Amino acid sequence: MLRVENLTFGYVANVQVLENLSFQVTRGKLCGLFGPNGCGKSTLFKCCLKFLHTTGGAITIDGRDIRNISVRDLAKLVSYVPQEHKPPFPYLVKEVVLMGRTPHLGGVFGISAKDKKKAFDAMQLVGIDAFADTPYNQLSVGQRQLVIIARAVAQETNLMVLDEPTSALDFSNQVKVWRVLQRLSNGGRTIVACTHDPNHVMWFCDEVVMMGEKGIIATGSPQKILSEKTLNQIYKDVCRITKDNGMRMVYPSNIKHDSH
Amino acid sequence: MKKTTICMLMTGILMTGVLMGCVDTNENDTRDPNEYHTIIDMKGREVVIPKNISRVIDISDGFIASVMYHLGVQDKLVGLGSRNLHYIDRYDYTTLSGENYSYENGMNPVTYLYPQLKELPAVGQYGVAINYETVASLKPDIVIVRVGYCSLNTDEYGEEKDITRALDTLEALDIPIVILYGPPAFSNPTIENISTEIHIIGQIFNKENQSRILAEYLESIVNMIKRRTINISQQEKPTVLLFGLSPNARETGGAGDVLCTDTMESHFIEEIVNAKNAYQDTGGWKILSAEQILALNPDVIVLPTDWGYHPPRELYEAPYYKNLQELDAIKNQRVWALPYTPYNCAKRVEYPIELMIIAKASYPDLFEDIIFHDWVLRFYQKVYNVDEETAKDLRSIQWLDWTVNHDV
Amino acid sequence: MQPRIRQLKNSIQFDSFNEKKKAAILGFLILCLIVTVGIALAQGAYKIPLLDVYKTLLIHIIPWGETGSIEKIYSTIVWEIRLPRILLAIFVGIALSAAGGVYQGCFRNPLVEPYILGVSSGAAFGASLAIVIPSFYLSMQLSAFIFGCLAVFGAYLLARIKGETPIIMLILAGVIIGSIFSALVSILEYVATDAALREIVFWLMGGFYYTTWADIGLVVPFILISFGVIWIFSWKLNILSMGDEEARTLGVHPELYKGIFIVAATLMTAISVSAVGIIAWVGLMMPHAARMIMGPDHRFMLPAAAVMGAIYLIVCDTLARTLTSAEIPVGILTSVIGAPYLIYLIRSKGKFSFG
Repeated sequence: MLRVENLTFGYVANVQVLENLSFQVTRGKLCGLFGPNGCGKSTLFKCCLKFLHTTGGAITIDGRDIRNISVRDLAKLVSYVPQEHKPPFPYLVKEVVLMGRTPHLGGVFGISAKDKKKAFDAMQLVGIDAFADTPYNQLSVGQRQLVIIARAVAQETNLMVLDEPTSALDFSNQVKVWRVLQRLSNGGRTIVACTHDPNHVMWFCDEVVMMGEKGIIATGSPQKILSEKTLNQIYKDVCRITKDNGMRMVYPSNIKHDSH
Repeated sequence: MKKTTICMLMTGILMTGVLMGCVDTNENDTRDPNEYHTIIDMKGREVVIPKNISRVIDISDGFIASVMYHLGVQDKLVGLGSRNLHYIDRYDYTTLSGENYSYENGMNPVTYLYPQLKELPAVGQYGVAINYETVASLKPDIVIVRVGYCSLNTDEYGEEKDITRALDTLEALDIPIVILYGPPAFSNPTIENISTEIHIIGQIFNKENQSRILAEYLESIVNMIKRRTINISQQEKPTVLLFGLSPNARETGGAGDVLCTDTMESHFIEEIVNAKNAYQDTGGWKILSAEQILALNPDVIVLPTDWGYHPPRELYEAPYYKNLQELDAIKNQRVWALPYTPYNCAKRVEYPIELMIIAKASYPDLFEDIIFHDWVLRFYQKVYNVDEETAKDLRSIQWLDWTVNHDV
Repeated sequence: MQPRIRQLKNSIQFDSFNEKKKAAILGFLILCLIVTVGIALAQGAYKIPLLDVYKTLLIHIIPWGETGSIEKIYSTIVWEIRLPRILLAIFVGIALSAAGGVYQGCFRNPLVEPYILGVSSGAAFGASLAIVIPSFYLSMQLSAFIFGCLAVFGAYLLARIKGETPIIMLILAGVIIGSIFSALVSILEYVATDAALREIVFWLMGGFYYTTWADIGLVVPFILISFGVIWIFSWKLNILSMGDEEARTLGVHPELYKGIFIVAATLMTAISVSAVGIIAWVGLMMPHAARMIMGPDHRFMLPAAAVMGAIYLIVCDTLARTLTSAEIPVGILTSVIGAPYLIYLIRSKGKFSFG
């Protein structure tokens, strides 16, 4: 679904932030892009969405090379949920979700009943249809994140890309969002979500692309890739993994705990 | 039945149409030569005006009203060009020693003589265009416009926008308009054209003899001063500084405004009184600092009205002028104030008073025989046709009583 | 509730989307505008009977009307003096309000005015240049228009980094360019003769008094076309207000459309400023008021703001020419009347409008 080959990028001429990166994301999977702060996750993202111009390498989405693609066509392939969204004006939730239909609109005011129905379906799928008539600046941060996700759903793309979707949320909202993402990927969408929380990757993702300071460390399923050895490569001897009832969890080393 | 109704309806419509066509008030072809005459204004236009005028709008800062007062027709005024003739002013001053004094009841002489002026509506004001609906609603017989007064521009754009607009609109409203050019409308300052303005106003009211008397009287003063000073040699000429003690100038760091050689007042000094302007540069009114004034060190200082009235006492005693006390003119007490003349952009009928003060300040010996405070009474009597008591009042409201106290 | 019935009910609710209600409000606003024009046409120092006012208007509008059949003075007052002013007030109101809404949308900030990129300072400089140098080959109005556009263009170039124009850079560049032109105007004021200086001050104060039918013919097509372009793309303005990155991912090329919107808004603003001088507040207040009534969807907010701006300027200009016997500069009235309204807006519903 998403294939990156030998991607190279630098903000300034001689300083390469990303060098010869290559990885693939399988169709229909929920993939976590995991790595510490500053490793270039966001930069990688921005290159895939063509916010930045790469200096080398190729990016293919759904079989199409995105180098010469128009803005509109790219929007029909991949949708985006930012880490943080500040509402500029008090749009209603349903208006915001309807904005996701923009790449598909035709004509002058081409918003048809079909577009409105799809927006409504998106809200239902994500679980926010009760808020449809609320100005979205009045919602909590977590609810607002769900609105933006619903907008991406309404965009009807096969690939959805989220930049740290749960960093600003409380625990319950984090779980809610990941569950929605799981539901979406079960419905056939390919989802790539950036995160720096290893547990989220462990619990929710089908695949993981793990990045470190030098580039991609490993890709594959979280069960195989996430081990104390790999985690300590990037987090320098901070992590331990425990397995309880078939569920694995990462926790910090040297924590005081009940001994038995 | 139906046919009759239709016929009646049609006739009705037809009659209305005919009647509407008859309501045509254009009188272009039906002017009775006994009731109208033609005059030529200063723009060269031929203007047809009624012989009997009862409603006049004066678009100036009072010059036209003053001349009309001389001609005795001031009661025909129904509108003014600005609110400047409504104002009665008062100024307060402090001295270095903390004493306060003030000047009250300052105004334009014609406001004093004809107080009803204060009730007349103003059709214009500084910063806005003339309100033509107000002009039309006053139903004037004639509108007289003096280009160059403080609210009407004289440059190329002013000419194009304001004057053309005035001409077009008033012509469309069928109101005769006469254009006069005040001194600022001419590229070089000169005072002779004021006589032409007075003549035209006289023609408008069929009082040409009276207007000629006024114009000739004003010219005679100019000529008299010229005659007396014509033989002064270069070395004998005193330097005269026209110094405006404007508070705005002080706020921006200067000492005051100085009038350059391209102003009318400087023209008075150099061409008529034959003295020398202490500041030899062009540029209208310029702000100079205290140091620059000290460097000029003029023989005589004359104080015009500049954002307020400024008596010599202000220059001698104000705390903000203590740096200038070393000036020769101040040490020798050769500081004279011009009469209180706000809104003097286009020179008034009283301009010879300014001339006389400048003459007496520059050449006290040559004009020793003229006792100013007496001469000015005769001036008011001749210009405004008033008695001596009223003339004394006029002298007071132009704040010239100091000439009595100093007996100059 | 049965799933099917629930779906039907929801889809009805969704279909309406309040759009019919918003269209009705817009229609009502346009009706208010027509009524305002009718009232304003009858106001003035010269009293004309009401019926004669409308009769005069009708006779001039109807192609076969007998204009000689009404009193010439009525024609002059109603058709030559009052009506051009009212029409120009309408279109300048439309231009400034719509431009304000567009800038607020592009810059994602409800506090932005149409003059933020320096168009007013540039226009003031152009006008002053033409006044102070009479031999300048551009007319004052043309010079004001060209320099107004140049100022915005300069701000845009100044803010451009690697093919992008971040909002904060645009605003800063606008402030810098604006203050450069203001300083140049000050220099011109300093060297100007007294008459030229007076003319510059007149121009800066702004007003509708010189409006003729020739001005209408020049200004109206510009404003109509610019507004039309903006309205056609107004859904994309919604998307742009989400931010450059999100707009791109939603299929709207941010640089291209920001360019289109800013150019159209600038043209409208520059032609307005060149015709009537600098009239403040309208471009800031009307989008706010429209957002409160219509919601922030630009497809409805922009025309609502435009109509409200037109009504507001007609009211202000009518007061400017009837309150006193002389005229009052209309900028004073828009500020005096506008400021308390803006204070009320902030206090009563501020937090909703400001997002």
